[in-house]
Amino acid sequence: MTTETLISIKDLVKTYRTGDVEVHAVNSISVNINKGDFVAILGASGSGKSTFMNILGCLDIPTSGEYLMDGVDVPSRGRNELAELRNSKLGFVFQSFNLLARTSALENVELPMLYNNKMDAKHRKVKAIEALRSVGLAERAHSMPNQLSGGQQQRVAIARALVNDPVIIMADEPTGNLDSRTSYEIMEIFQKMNEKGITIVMVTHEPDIAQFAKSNIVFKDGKIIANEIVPIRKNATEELKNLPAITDIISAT
Amino acid sequence: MRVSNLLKVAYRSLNRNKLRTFLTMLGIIIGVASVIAMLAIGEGSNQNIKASIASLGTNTIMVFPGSNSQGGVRGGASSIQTIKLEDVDAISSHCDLVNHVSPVDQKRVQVIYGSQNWNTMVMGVRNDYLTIRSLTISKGSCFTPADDRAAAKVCLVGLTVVTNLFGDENVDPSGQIIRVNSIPTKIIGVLSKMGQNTFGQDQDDIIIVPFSTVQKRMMSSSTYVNSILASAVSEDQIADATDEISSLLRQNHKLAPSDENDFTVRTQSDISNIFGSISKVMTILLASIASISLVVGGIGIMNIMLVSVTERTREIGIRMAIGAKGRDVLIQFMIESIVISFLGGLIGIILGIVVSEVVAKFGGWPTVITPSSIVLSFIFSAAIGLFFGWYPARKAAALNPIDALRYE
Repeated sequence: MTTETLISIKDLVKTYRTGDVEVHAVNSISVNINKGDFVAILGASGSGKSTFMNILGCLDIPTSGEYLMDGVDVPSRGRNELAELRNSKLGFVFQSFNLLARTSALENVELPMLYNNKMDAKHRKVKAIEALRSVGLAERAHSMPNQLSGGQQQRVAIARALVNDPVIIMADEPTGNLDSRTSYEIMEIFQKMNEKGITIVMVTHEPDIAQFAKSNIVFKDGKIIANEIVPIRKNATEELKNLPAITDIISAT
Repeated sequence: MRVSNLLKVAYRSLNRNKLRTFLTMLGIIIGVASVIAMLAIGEGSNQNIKASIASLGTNTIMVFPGSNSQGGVRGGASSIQTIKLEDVDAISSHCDLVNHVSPVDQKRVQVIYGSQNWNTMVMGVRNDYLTIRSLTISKGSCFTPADDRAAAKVCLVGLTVVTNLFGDENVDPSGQIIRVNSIPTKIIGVLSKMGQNTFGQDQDDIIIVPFSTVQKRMMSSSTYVNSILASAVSEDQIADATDEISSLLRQNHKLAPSDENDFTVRTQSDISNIFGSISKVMTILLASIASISLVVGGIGIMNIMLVSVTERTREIGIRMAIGAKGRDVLIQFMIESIVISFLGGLIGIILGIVVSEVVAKFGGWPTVITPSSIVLSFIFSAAIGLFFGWYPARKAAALNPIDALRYE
């Protein structure tokens, strides 16, 4: 299997300055992420993983160091170019879903395409419905976010992340607000997407969720202390089968 | 993002806070409406003044004697008598652009009828005077040129004089003899009611007598004329007619080219211009006071847009994370403020027109809505939307996506 390097990070440093105190949120990190990877980033709060994600997601610029993404030298880009990069190459999934309120699922999914002038309205709608179908929510296209459950909202968010055909999905604690069954459902979607060749970088603090990824990167005090392949990778579909059904729990009591 | 999408997003966000949007818009509505109403009232009074000056006759020309100057002491206007009856005849026969001309002698006199007496103005004029001033006779008849030549002791009286001498303005005093300046004069007609002029003078408090009657029987001087009233063939030719009269009089008075005129020629358009400029100043004053409310409305827009940007910080963060550029966010918020001021401007125009009509109908004040006032206030309100919307939109566009996403 040929591995193509998608993200290449070398000596990445991000320093925050609070008064006279310099805080190295990310301290000289070097890491490569290949095409088709499914990486889980673990670490305690304040370990620098969120800062790292922000830089990885082109939302922030490192203080120093190299960052090449799909051949693009990210740190040298301006605000508008970063926005274009996020729009065309990245998809975001957040812990708190971050759907636009009072905006239907379909329109939420269409949103990234609105900032991409190449597409006409008709094509946009077709693509958005397709993306919703891939997360199993085609029939809820016209529901408002407040009419959807947490898991469904997260699936809409995933559809939104997918719709511009990104090279990487950036997921920041995607299961943080969900129960374990729904978390597994989300992981099932991620694993299926990953099988189709989409690279996924996911921040999580739940070790069992990290087991669904192909490899784990562990952060501590702004440094990577471990970067290893997951030895026994969990399969979400299997795990879901093993979970006791809710009806079983009710009948057991 | 395309304009149609931007408009949709703006509509949705404005629609979400209907009351707030309406109240914000109200500032602009009231501002635009008051600017339009004030301009309409100003323009209405301007035209009203012009019309009432025009009722004096817009093509009338008045010739007064000049001022004298002796040993460096200058007399006031008409301080010398330079105009003679021959001048009137010369104007009448030589000036092609003048179609009517009449000498005017006026004097305050005591008039007596029976036991009643009254102090009024007697005017000695020729028939042309009545034509120039558009005076008509309501009862009886006018004197004739023959009466003038004969210095006949006949007169026309105004309604105020009738009321004061005969007790009631409905009395027909034709044929009665009144004593004007001790001279028994027969009333042959009553002038139609003219009411007050622009300056509040009672135009009915008057007695009109043939010119030569006044000159020969009531005035001490016999050759000079107080003033001349003439009318130009048309309003456009007033200036030419004025020049014609001036050069004729200079020639008749044998003035050297270096001499100043020994007479003054005035036209109604001078007076009308003065009043026009006064009313223009008033209009500008009213409109600028009204435009203050428009500016206050603009500040209201800015205030609400700032609140809206803060409220939607997270939305801005989401949009930026998925690829919105600063410019996209800027335009999105600009469009919202422009929509508010644009719609507010439209509604304000309608309200302004309604207010003007109501003022005209129930306030008895003439109002005239000019297209330019509508265009002006509309452009002004749109500019205010742009100006006051820019800062909040700029603030939204400058947000850092990470901070915006984290905003609670």
